[in-house]
Amino acid sequence: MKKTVPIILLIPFLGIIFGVPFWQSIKELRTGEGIRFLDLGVDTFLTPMRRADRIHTLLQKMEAKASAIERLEPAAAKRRALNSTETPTADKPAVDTPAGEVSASLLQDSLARLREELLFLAEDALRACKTINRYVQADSGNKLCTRLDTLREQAARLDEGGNIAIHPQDEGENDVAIRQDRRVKSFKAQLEMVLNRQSETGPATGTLLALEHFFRYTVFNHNYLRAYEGELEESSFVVQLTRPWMQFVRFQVLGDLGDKAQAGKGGWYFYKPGVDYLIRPYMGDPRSVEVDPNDKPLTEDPIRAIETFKRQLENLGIELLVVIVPGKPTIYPERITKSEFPRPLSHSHKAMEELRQKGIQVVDLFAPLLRAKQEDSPGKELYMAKDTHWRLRGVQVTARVVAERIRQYSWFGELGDSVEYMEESVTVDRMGDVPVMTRIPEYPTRKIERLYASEKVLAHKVFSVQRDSTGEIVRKAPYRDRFRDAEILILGDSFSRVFQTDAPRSAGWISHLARELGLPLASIVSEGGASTLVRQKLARNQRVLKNIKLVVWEFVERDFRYGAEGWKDVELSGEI
Amino acid sequence: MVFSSHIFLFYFFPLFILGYYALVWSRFSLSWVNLFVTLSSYVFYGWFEPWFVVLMWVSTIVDYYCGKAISAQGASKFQRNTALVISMAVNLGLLGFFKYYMFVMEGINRIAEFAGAGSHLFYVMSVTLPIGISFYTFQTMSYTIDVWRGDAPPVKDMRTFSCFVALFPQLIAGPIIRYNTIAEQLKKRSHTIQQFTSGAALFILGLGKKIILANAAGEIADAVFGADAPGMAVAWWGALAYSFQIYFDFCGYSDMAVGLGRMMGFEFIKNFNAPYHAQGISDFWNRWHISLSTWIRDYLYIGLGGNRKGPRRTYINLALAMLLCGFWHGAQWTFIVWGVFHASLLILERTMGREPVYRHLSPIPKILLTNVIVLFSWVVFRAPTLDQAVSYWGTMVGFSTPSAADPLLLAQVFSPRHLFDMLLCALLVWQPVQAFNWVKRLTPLRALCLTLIFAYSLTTMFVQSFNPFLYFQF
Repeated sequence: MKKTVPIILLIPFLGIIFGVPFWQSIKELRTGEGIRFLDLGVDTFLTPMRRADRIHTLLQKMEAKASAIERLEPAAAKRRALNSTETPTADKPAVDTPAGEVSASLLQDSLARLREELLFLAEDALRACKTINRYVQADSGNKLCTRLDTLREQAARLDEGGNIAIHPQDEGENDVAIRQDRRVKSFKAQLEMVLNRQSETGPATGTLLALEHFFRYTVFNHNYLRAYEGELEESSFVVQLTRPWMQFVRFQVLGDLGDKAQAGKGGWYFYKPGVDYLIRPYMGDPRSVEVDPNDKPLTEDPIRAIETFKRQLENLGIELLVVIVPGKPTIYPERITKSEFPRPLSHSHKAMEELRQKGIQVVDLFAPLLRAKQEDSPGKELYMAKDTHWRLRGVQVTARVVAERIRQYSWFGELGDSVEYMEESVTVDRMGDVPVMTRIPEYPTRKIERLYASEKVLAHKVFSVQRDSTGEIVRKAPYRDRFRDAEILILGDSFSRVFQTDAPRSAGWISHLARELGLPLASIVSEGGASTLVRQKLARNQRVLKNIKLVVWEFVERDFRYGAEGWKDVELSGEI
Repeated sequence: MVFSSHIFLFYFFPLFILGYYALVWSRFSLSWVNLFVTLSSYVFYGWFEPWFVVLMWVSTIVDYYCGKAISAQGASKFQRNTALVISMAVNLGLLGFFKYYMFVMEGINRIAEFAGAGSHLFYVMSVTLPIGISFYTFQTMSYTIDVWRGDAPPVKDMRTFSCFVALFPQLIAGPIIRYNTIAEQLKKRSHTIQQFTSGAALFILGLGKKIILANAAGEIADAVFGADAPGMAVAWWGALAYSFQIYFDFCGYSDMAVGLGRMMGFEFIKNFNAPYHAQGISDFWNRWHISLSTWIRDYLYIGLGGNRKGPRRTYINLALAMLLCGFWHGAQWTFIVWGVFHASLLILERTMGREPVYRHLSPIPKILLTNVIVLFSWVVFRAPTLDQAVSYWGTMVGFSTPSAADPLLLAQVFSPRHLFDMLLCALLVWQPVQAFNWVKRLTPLRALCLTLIFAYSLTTMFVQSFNPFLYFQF
């Protein structure tokens, strides 16, 4: 071996493997964040003790505050009672506070401050418990966090109760005082329970907690290690520096668009999971459920989840209408490859059939959109070339078809006041979402400029109008959700968002549906999360269902397989 | 930890090399250096799942003391045999439980269901397979067997033995190192700049094989094997991609392992010798996963009598050896069928004097035919179930109708990038010079090429999502 060989090979080899972590550390030191690599040691040996100490200190402070509240509450109640019986009048002025005694309002202020501080402390303690370190959070089943959460709730009630008690309108003074006293006692009991658990080991307070932390959340924990490793890579300057260049080179030389995008013909781009949905087996196929190490297993059954949701709505006296939006590859497969597609592509027909068999109402958008495609002209297709979503014609067809279906409900004629809408044409410059997903850096090459060039898209903005008796428009406002008087609620994904809440606004399919029906509508939209997240959003705001007769649930077909958070059941309580 | 990961390349490895050579240059005894290697190896192994290190300790302690008992002065035959049996029982017990428990219990439940005893007669626990257990249990068993046979001297101290078991370069996915091949190196090994350079070169080539070739081919294989009903052309393309993936993935790992070993002064055996240049299945098995096939040959096949007890017994022994080889890869019917498939072909070739049926052809058609046969066998190896393997085979021979979305899959897997990657794989698989030989004569130009390969592999790694080695699952 020539002497130059080790020099040529080893200098760059060792230079890279030693140089990268060295420079990374220097950069991290300069930013003042501390060397991330050392987090492993800090998180393992220091953080457990620091966290235990912090929680313990907070708990002790809470105990002191709670005792102070307990002491002051009876005095404050007494003062309040005195004040309420001795209301100052013109002929009977207020009794002056004797010297050395605290005035009622001062006492109330002190108590309010104490309660507020107690709540802040409880929130801090809960945060300290949950935030294990930069990489992991406490498990949802962590007992201490659960207890601290209960404490926080109790502190919040105490604070709330105290504030209400300042203006006791519906209750007697005595009731308020008793209730507050009970709350303070219950809070203290809970606090004592937590503290006792903490001090089981005597003077070495928090040792057990630190040990539990050490074994559960540090280097002994698989999740911590994976998160730490992932973060180390993502935050690396060399990764951040070279990744865009590599993506750029791969795109320039081989046309590679990465994991999320697929190039089609004639400047069309597709979202890859949308194409994968058509290629992979149907969701009911055993192959979709089997755990294949190289694929994401489908663990939740979408059909069952939809059925459950329908039942939940039925219990509330609400009907469900499912609208499955065909993905762009289903309608325009010939824009991906020149091959012939004599047979229907999508699995969604099977899914619609299964849903109908279960008694779920489904709108078929596939046939109308494929029919409408026959009237395509350049620049007036149903979907955008560089975006996963539809254009104006897709929006109009969908709104018309869904409106037709809604008019068939027997109760449709009984719906409340109608609204008059009108449309106005606007043109927007739209940067497609598919090029953005490629994360290819926007270097000034012709190929990249073509990739990122925006599309001019026509949209019809919908306005609600009011006329006077002569028919003159007196008020004209862009379409807005009207939760107060809407009887139809739309749940949707980005197909409900496009043109609706992004430019030009009020021009999405929801506005067009409202115009078709001449009715006010309400909507809850979750970007990419129509499978589970949108129902969770609804569950958190269940009161919006108060006047609702129909829920229209729109989601794109690929969500059957790739919906964010899968197809979990979401609890909807039986009451609104 | 994975060799082709940020944490390994930029944190674990530089720290390890720094510590290692600090000890070597400070003239610490090799025993202390080995202890450092052992502790580092535990960190490396524990990075996947820290608690699995305990299993390795169990295997290490049991085999160390069994080895001692076997080689003890004045030990009776009974004592020696008992120690061997204990070592086998513990290692095979660990392997059996963690790798085969679920498979066996589910099989029993299925039989019970068939016999009308209910569908879930026995509760089946979910058992996580500790990574690399198949490799290190085979490795430690080789030690006790070698000592029992008198083929290797017993190890003197626990530090050295722990180092042999835990040695991180080959711990997770081989090559399976036998104690007698490494015993001397554990006691005495040299550290030269030439050796280090050659190790670094092999490591870089292995990294390139994994990152640039195996992962790229794997994308195609995953797309095709995960498809609903691919067409015939796509199915062949997918099988070919998988054959490239498994070769470059596993061979890449082995090259990295040998390279890392060399950087530490060890010399491990070559695990691959251009397997896709084989002109028959017997020839293929002389070139593929050499450390496993020789292990099975030496400890099972020859132990069963090899070819010394007549042709019929030879065939039975061959069948058993290949069945074990298949089952070693995993507790699935697909691996068993894969083993049987290869066993049948090996027996057939044995009846013809270790030559294939197509022995009269010239070398290139022989290589081509062997590759086609191996390609078919990879289908069952890759498919998640036997049903899917059969259906895939059907597609390859034109017995099934492709799904309507087949043209979309075709467009996906025949993209310019995939065509380029597959062409590169094909060129490198069938070119005559193998990595092992290429690094033997390093020139400045080669060193420069290696530097570029290293830089390209790293930047490619940064744009790829996490992609562990295929052999980790075995």
